[in-house]
Amino acid sequence: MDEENLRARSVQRTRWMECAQRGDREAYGALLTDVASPLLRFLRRWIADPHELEDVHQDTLMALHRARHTYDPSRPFEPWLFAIARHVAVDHLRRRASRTSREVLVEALPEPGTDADPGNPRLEEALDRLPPAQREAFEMLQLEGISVAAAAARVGITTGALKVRAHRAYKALRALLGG
Amino acid sequence: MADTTTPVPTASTRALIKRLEDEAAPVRRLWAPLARLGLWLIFVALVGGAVGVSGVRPDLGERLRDPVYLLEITALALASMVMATRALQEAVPGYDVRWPARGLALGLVSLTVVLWFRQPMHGQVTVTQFIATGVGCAARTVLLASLPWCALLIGVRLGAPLAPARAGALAGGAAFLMAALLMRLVCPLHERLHLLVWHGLPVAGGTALSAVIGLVWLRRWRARPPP
Repeated sequence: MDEENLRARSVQRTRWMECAQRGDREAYGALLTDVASPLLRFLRRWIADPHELEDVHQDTLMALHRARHTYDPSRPFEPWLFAIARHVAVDHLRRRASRTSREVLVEALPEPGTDADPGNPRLEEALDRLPPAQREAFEMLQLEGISVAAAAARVGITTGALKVRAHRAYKALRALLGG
Repeated sequence: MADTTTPVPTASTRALIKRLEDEAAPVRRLWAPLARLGLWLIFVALVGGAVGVSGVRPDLGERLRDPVYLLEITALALASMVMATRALQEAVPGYDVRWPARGLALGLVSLTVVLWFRQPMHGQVTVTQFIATGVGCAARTVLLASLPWCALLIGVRLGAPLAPARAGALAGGAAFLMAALLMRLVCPLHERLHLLVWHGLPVAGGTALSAVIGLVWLRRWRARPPP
């Protein structure tokens, strides 16, 4: 796309946004549809995983929606748009890094204790009090004895997320069983 | 090789776009940073007026003829306004700043510190006297900063600050520097340690505290609807 087309498109986006700020739904819809693909292309430079990319893309559109009152039509639209997109992407990567570091902490799952006997009435009672996702993680790993990878695949989450659920379940059970 | 294909939004993203389109209510556009700065300066003028009414230092007329004193209060005023302007610009995503605002503010603050360092030291003051005269100045600095500080933080929060800690620090720096300027119109002491400790430290502490407040309070714009 040549320089002139890019400029014309930018002017069009500015007009759409100006109308959207006044409550024009049609203009807003046109703007969001128009920027969706360039945003996705921009975010793809930061995030490779398609599921994560979709999440961040949607977060960016939500952030754009929340910040639309800050756009000044006398200034170019794209720096405003991509500053928001960069912020959402960096925020996502930062949170992912922090989550990953927490997952490392639970890399080694604790050994089941003597209380982890399926027939133990105290354990059953304690398991009933756990949130369903944590209970499921505990049951798969400690009672059924399947691997972390297989358990994660069964419930459709990452192994890291499964370990976090299991770790929380152990902590809760330890507290409930007074261990 | 870079992937140059045009990506297509997923069905759920298209559904989100439709939902956002349906929610496109009119919004009150954020005022331009300079307009908000003008409003902030009205708050500052109110505080300055209150200082004028409650009494300035007795030798102010004489001091205003001293070029070093004039340079000091000019540097404080400019640094405060530069930081306030930058704080308000931080509320607008992607705001392109074409002048070295942070460097300028830092230079002006450094100049003030150098000028304070050039003031004489009174060695005969006891620690008790030093604290007794200084605590009042520090407390008044905080008091004078509070209204412009709150006004500036609210002014930033109305927007969408992408670097909330930096925006908070700039807001705090601007308000406390303005308070330090007003204190120089009130406090008659020209003593190096007094100025550095009781006039300078509240500015540094207020800026740091404001950065923390910014980090906690200014980052939530993504969770609330626009005005």
